[in-house]
Amino acid sequence: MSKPNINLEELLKEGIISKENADDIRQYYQSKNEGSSNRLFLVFGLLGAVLVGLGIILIIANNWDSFSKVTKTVLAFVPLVIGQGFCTYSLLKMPDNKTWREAASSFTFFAVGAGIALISQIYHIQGSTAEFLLTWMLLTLPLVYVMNSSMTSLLYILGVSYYATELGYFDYPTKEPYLYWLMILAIMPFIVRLQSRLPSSNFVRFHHLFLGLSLTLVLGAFTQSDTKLVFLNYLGLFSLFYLHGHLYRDVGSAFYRMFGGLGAIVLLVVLSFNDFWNFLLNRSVNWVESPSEPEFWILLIVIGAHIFLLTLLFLRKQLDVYNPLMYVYPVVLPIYFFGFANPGMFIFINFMVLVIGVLTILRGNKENNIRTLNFGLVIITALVICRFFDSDIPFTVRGILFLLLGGGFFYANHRMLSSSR
Amino acid sequence: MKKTGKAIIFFILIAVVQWAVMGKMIYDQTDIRKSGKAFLFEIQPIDPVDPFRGNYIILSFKENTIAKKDTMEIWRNGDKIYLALEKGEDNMTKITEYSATKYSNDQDYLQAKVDFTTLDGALRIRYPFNRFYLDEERALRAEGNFFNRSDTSETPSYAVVYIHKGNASVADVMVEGASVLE
Repeated sequence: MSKPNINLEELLKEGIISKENADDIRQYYQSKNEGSSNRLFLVFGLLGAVLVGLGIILIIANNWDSFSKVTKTVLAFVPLVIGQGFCTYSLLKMPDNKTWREAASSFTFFAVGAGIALISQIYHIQGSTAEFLLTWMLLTLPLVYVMNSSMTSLLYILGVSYYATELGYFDYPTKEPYLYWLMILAIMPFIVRLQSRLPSSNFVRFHHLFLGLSLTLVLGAFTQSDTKLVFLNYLGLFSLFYLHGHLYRDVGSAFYRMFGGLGAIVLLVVLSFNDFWNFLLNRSVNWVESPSEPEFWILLIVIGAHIFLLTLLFLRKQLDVYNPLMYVYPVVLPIYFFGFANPGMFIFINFMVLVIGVLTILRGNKENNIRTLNFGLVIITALVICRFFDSDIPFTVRGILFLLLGGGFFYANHRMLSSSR
Repeated sequence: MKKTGKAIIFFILIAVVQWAVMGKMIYDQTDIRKSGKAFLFEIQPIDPVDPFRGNYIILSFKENTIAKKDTMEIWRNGDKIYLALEKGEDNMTKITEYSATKYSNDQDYLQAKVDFTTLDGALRIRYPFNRFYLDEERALRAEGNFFNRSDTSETPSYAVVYIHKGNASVADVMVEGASVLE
């Protein structure tokens, strides 16, 4: 334990601080130290519980055919009993000890999965991996609330995402995992409460990260054989992340801005290829049949969410005209639908990416932010590299363009670094 | 303290549900085996791995299509279908009839799904069972035995499946006359 580098007794004697002040200061440093050692315990406790839990699942996956059926069935319940015992103990004896709660709950999470797996194995219970995951997640969701365990909540989000991808991408035949939305909705009250109680904790940060990645992973599962709207919907999702990151300033917002911005740019670069628009050109949106497709509903929801977020940003005067990533979706939306019937739309997208790159560089320069500046340069470089794939510009011209771009990087970074010194 | 009491009650409820769900899984299977009748389904085993539940052999069945009664009937992929079963002369199970509704209990039947309609208008059946868990060594041996058997082999390879009120429980898999569990 480190002591504050000031002599409290001396300050007290000289009358600089009162006795109460001295006690307060002592207590403050004491609790601060407890906090950091607690966090270390929490990390190790969780790591231990997760590793042991995973270990049990792996051992079980080995099939223990040498044991009798009864022995195996009893063994299936042993991890569960141990986990439930730990949970009961921590609830009764140390309801305020976070490390115990989190570790016991995470262990029980895995014990439930191991139990279901082992019983399925012993009794040859049929069913896909998706069905197995669904049962597992439904049985462990209440643990999150009763044990008030953030780690179990994160594991639950992982499990639910795994379930949705299994069902939507890998199962035969694949189905849209509609239940995913309900299951994510079921964990939202916990996340909202966590965010309001400990707004700057690492667990909140991880929840944002997991939710963002999970949505990105699962959105594509809501696509039937025709994939004409999927690019638009993904662009919408990234744009929503970006807007959300600007609207709400909390521990998650930096991640949402970074992830949303990067995702939108990557998609725009894909859309800048003429080949993509040729693929789109021969299709059409059937306005009579489309409403029965999940992609169409996602499109409507994404548009609605944009109207909502953009209005809020406007009312709060947070809408930045010089930040094109804020309105990239409303601009691409009509171009995309125009592209179903008209060739040449890729020209608009190329122009757009160029404008975004230039404006980002200018913004980085104005705000004296070297990261934004380089992001802008990367956008333009990506665009130039891609255009070289589908054009027949002579090598010498390409070479000169790259030299200019490289020089631009050096110049811009050098100028910013020397001006900040 | 009051809050802890409530949490404990909720926790006990959760624990009971966790036990009950797993118990029900076991009960359902034992009930089918106790009250049901054994049927033999001729098979072709292969050997994949499930990340959670370990090695198993996939069972694909020889008796897997049935001609439509009326070519105008419409069955979508994944539709529920009830199959009337009977033992053939070789003791293997044959599908004698099918229906979109349950049969009465004096008829042996199985609830399955339509996999797809074949080009010549027959229904391909997806049985509600297709895996049998085995450790890796035995799974590989079963697969090897199956593929190494002679072409003229008279002994069929089959799954022993108990069936009760339309529900199934796989009890054993025999390859070349021997249980894969041995």
